Amino acid sequence: MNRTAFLCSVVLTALLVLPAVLQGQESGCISCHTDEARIQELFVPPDIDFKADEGEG
Amino acid sequence: MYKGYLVDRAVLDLNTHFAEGCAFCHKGDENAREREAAHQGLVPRPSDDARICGQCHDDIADRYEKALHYTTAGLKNGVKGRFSKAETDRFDARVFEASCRRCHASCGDCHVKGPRLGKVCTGLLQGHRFVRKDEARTCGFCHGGRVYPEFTGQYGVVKDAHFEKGMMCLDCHSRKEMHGDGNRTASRKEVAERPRCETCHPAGQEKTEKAKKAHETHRKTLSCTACHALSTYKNCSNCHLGKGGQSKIGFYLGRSPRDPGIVTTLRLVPTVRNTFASAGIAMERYDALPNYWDTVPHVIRKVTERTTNCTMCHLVKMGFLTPSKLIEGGSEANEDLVYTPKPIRP
Repeated sequence: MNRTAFLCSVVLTALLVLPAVLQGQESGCISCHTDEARIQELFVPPDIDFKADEGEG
Repeated sequence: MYKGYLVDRAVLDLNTHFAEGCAFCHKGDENAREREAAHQGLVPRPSDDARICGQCHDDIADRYEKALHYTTAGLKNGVKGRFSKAETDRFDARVFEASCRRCHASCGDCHVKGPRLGKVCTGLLQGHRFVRKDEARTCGFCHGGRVYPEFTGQYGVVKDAHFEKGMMCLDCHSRKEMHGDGNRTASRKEVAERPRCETCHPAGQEKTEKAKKAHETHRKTLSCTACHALSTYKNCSNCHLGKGGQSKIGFYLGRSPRDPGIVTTLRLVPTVRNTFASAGIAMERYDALPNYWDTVPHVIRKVTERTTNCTMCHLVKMGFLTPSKLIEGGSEANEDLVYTPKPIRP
């Protein structure tokens, strides 16, 4: 097989296999939001202004 | 609080809601690996638009879009009787959506993640499971200023008898009431499915002759709570837009503003003459509505001061509004609520 044909077959194989590989990867959402340590690291406590807003003063 | 954002991995494969992936509802970028990139275009509360859930739950979503928890129309209708036409328009344009309607409940606020008040939220109810109910973290969070703590005895006084028997909110306030019947209503008093004491406590099943006679005598003139609400419930007052209000314990009996032929428990409402002054609304018709509304305090007991002794009402007149007890600077309409019970011999 000459070099051109070899390279084409490699590219074609990659194009066929890559979607399946990516599909098998977990989404970014799930990988963060199911990891307690990661969520705790990323969590930013809300800046709560405790002066009266709506509700009881 | 970070745990409120933690999804339980175990539910992902078991629940059909996750079959299409997170971005189906939440948008954002599922393929990104960094927080900022993943959250680009994120919709944190997708069910704020009930049609999102309506893609599968079309019947419920169609009804819920008209239900009071979603529309919060009761908040507007309760106050707009005090406005002129121009003030009503101003209220709709500047106040209602920005302030009052923040209290509306999306589907997710009851079934996925607790509701949000200001910047505070109880987080995912059960790791992003879709739960049927979790009253303490949903109902109790929004209604935690008055009825829920009354009901559960958190104010340090006696608990509601229904709570003592193991009942919670949805045992009386049914799913049908919450989701609505497809009809738009102006207030909770018009909701067809609202709870009625007689549903579980019909006439004729009293255990004593005294109770039977008391009910027969007062059936057409007294609400159930006029006798069976404990004399401790919260009343809010002096509310100003953006600044909150105050509350105090009180107990008021008088004519129902919605049905003057009935004497009932009344609760002070927080609207004062300059509540909306910061929005340029003076309430030109402030005196058209009273400052007290008929209420069902969620602190019900079979035995109260009024059920054991007729003189508490008919001689002592305990809790009854009088002209001197009306809130200072209040609406002229308050005078119509005053009721003086007939004296009886002790």
